[in-house]
Amino acid sequence: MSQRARVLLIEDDPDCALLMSTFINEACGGALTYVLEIAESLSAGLALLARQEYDVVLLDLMLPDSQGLDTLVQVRARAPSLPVVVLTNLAQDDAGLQAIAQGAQDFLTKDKLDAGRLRHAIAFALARDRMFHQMEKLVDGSPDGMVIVDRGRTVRYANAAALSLFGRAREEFVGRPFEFPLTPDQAVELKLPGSSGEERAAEMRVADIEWKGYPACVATIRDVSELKKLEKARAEVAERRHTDQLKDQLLSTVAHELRTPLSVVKAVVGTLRDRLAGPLTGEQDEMIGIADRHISRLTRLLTNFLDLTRLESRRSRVSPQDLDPLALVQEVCEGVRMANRGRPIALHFEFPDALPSVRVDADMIAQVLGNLLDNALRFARTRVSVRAAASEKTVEISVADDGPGIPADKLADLFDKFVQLDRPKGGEGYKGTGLGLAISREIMTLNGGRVWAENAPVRGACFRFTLPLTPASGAAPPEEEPSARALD
Amino acid sequence: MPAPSIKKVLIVDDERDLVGPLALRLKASGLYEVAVAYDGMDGLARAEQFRPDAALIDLAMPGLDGWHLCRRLREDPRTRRTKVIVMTAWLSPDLGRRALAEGVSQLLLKPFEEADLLKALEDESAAVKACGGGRAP
Repeated sequence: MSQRARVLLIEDDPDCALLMSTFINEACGGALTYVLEIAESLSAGLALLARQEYDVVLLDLMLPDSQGLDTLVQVRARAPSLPVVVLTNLAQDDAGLQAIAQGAQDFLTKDKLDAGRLRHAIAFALARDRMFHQMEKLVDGSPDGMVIVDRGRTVRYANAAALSLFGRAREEFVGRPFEFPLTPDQAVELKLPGSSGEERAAEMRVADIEWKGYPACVATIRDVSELKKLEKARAEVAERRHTDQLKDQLLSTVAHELRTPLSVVKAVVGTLRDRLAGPLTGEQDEMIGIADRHISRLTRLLTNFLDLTRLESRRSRVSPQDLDPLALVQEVCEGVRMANRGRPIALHFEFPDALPSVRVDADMIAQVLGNLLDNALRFARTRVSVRAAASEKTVEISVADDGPGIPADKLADLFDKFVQLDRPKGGEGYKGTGLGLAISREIMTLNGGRVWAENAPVRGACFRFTLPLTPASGAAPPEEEPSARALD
Repeated sequence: MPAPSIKKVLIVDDERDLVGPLALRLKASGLYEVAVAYDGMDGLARAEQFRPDAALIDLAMPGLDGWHLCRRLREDPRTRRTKVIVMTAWLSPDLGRRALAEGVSQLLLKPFEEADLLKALEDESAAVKACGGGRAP
């Protein structure tokens, strides 16, 4: 390895300097080569130290402009971690030891020069420099940009990442003034031109360090463009969510506000319909009937809409209870059978003798089954069938009709809000709200079940939903809180 | 049908257009004697005078609102036993709990079916009878 030691000799006596250079030549043989510069005063030496980098300083303590240990102190102030070997006279016996106490690496007595010690001092300085280069390699491989700037604001070093961030070649950057403000202990955001025209954001942090023995700053620069993009996207999502919330709030307010005038219209039309305000002609009766049906439809729409917004915002209280699904299903089915007496559609129920207990919110599940039955009755031609069966982990309920079935392209989004299928011609005047299935899906999710639709093999649609079984040794269900539903 | 133990009903709602048809409906049933008021303070005054067996009270009213009216009725020995049925268009998450805490017997969510209103009053009648005139559990 042929590394050259850069040696600065600060010595005012030319004879002595000549002697030293011969001696250094002697000490440095083989692989150890050197470059020697000589300064004849402390001030000249300090000036050189400010301008250039050295590996080692050989320092005479007795100079025309400085004598004694103070000479060392001043050199070390300029280059604190540069190895300094002090040159003493034999007469100054303890000066060498005092110099070491002041931070000199070693001392040599001029009258008795020891080539081994000098060689050792220079070799040490070079080893230190090699270590420094290893460190530099490490720094150069860092994904963060690192720039060393000296006190004169000149760039002394820049790693590959820094050059790439600033978009400069090394020779355009190192040795030139650093053009960004250096504020220690504070992250500064830089706008840097990107390779393809777009601006890149970088974060720069500055810390005071010592660079090859000189006070300097290290600026660490990290490309935060991706992070910024991510932050922006996150802010946009939050903003959109906020807008959605405002929209939901507004819709909910509107829906609530509509209920008051609707209740008035309903009461007034009900009064007329029931002839509490006097007799009606046949035509008047018919017109009032139409108004009454549409008031019911509007009421249903508002109620469903509010149900759905509550479910979607998870403001609905779920009160799961362990219950017999058979009793629940039979009760709902009987209610529907009563309400549909006289209609030409056969209701067919197929239940086993017993079913295992399930843990669900009874009112919510009744609402789901009611919705599915309501749908089936609107689409069926002659028949609606309800079946219940237990599997390993669930009880599955199915509601099938013999209507036109579900078009393949609607199967996927059938459970979305306001998706409605065309009803068969000649269907009854009752129109759905387009919210029943969306509500059902939300309810099933909240109750740990699932609801889905399929087409029956022969004809018609079949809706199925599952109820989770009561856990065999599970904890008791949470105690039911009094809720509006329990009261109204 | 046996005579109901609730005979006198007070309706309190600032929505005058609703009070009219509701009063008509109750009177037409032939079961109830009806008084009406159009805000909370008016409702309180009417209640002290009329001593209703049941009061149908709207929640959002100017001045004394429905909740405060409930409390005032409870505090007055003359109206302490009046059954309170709350009518509201706003189903808030804590409505049920609050209603229980305020001693409300029933909740009617506007718009409600006329049948539900009559049923609510019948239920209260039954509760009064079952408890020998006391408050329902």
